[in-house]
Amino acid sequence: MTQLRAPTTVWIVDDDLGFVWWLGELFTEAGCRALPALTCDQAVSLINTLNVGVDLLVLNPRLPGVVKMLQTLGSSHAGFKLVLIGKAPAPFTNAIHPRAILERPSGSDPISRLEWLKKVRKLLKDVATAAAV
Amino acid sequence: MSPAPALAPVVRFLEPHHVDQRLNRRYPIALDIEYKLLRKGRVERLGLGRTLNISSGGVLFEANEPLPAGSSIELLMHWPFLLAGVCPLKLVIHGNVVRSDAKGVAVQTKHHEFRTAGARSPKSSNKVRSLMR
Repeated sequence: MTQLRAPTTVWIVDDDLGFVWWLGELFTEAGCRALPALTCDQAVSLINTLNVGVDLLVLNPRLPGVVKMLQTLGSSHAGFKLVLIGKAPAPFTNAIHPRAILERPSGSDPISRLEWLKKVRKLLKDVATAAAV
Repeated sequence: MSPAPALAPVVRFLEPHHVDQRLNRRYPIALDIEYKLLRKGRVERLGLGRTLNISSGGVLFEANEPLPAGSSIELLMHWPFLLAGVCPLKLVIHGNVVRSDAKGVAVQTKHHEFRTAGARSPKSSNKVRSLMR
């Protein structure tokens, strides 16, 4: 039986502080080492400063500097897996190939921590097995 | 007049539903914080609190005392993940108190950033507690 392993180090890069913190807690609870950044430049800087590697990148593709960041990480941390927060904007759809897409919670209803923890665990399982789309 | 095709992704990004979905969402996150009430750039009061929720635009937290609306405030939060016993990151938020009542202290964020941090020990909280005495 094949044992699925969650990615070790997850970087969450988004400019919505609440969502970054929310995901950070959930990925940590799911057994990952989760680390945050609010901009692409900050992510590259922190990745280099903390020197903890990148196994999975959960990234808002609408942030400024996304392509440059992916090129930088592609050469320095080859092999990391990519999950996008929402679909990539039109100019990037052919250039960015994520393993999965994670949608933000919609509406203003309260969100369930348990449901999101399940979602994160499923995402980790899917990412471990899926090819880039 | 419709925008040029090259600007279409930008226009879509700026459409209201993208903005609303993010600003309205408050994520229920409970963690200890330290705060500094500032007046003319000087620390007027130090305290400890616990967050109730975090959004892209602000933080709601519980404090032991009401804080004056309109005050400048700095919040310090430690990223929950430890790396070899060290908290690698702390979040510093600068903002204004917009409301302080039985529901908590609401802070509107003006600026926030993650900073690399040293060893996480009870020292910093103890320092705040000793200053509060």
